[in-house]
Amino acid sequence: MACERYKVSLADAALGELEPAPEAELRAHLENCAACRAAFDAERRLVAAIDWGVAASVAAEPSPELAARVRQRIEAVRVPARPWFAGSWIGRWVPAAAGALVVLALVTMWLARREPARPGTPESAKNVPSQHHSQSGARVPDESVTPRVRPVGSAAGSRRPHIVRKVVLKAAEAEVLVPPGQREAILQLYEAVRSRRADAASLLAKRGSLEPVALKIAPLEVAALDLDSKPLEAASDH
Amino acid sequence: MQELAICCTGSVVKLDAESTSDIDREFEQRLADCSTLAFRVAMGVLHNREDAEDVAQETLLRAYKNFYRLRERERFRAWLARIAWRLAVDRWRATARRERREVAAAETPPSLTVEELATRSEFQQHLERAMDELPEKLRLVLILAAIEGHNLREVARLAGLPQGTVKSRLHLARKQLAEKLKWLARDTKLA
Repeated sequence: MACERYKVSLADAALGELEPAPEAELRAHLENCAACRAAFDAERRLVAAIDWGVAASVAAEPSPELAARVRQRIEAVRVPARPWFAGSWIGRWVPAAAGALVVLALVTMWLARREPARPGTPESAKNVPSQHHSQSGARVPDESVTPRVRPVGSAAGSRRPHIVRKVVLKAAEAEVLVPPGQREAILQLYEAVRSRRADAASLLAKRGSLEPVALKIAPLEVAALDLDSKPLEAASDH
Repeated sequence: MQELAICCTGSVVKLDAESTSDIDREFEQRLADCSTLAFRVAMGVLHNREDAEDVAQETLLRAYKNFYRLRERERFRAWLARIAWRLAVDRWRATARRERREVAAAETPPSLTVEELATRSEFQQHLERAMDELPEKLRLVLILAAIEGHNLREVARLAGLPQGTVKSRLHLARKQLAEKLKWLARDTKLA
């Protein structure tokens, strides 16, 4: 009965894994029990043989040619030159950053195509009525050029109908649209007023009151219809 | 001369042609020091010299290819041991499957040569079979502890495990081997 109690601890003791107190107790039992002592000796020999065998299984030396063969294979697959950032966090983020930049560039290009032309850009210059500077510096639209304001929805102007609408001119560059053929006259008048050779107030007074004058429209006179004349179809035949 | 980028203790160092040769020399030194470790880990799993040499070659080649990724150079041995272990276990599994398929009824593993059979003791053959039957996590610490008399701390560092885990696993591995081979002790073949 006592031997059964020590049966488990025999193996642990043989493995050298028994705690000091139980081991001392076991040793005391082995002093008086030949059967358990024999079992313990057998267990110890087994463990020693296992330890020796395991060590022997890994104690072999590699052949002298191993290193040479490894060098040969390394030469065959020598690591290609790597950029300095390979293996670092930079190396890991470079592809992601490059991808983000490409996306950003594409979005920017797309937005640029949708964005209206701004004054001063070549595109806006194309769409603003051409102007010329007079000798005095006043800017007057060229009468020979029709402003390129296209009706919204027209075939030609449907792509960017808002371009001209968004052109903002400075107050100092106010433009005057003049009837065809009166450009030179208006310019001369402008210069005369500007150089005070002509009095603007008197010119306006000569024009008369700016109050709207009611139109007088004479009533239409419609001749009475002659119902006895020939029918219209017959008349139109002639 | 090629250019390698080597990471040292977390920092990136760009190597010129001259320092690349230094790195080659460093790897050459490690190759001399650690090729035996790789071979022995493989040998502990495979119990066959030719297979172990193949695995050791593959291990060292992989180590060379990925050397620049290893930030902590002092962990080279542990890193190498784990590569060798993984490759050896993969080879062992493939071999075991093939052998089971081809020679299911064979008494002894066919990978052993006549010379090996003649020189091996019966006990050693039984022991190696018993080792093969151990769970991998137990086998790993058993083999690492057997190589070059590594102590618990060294095995823990090589296996990347806490020392307490290594100790309990090592104990369990030896105990299971003893139970598997107890019948040999009863037959007094070890007397």
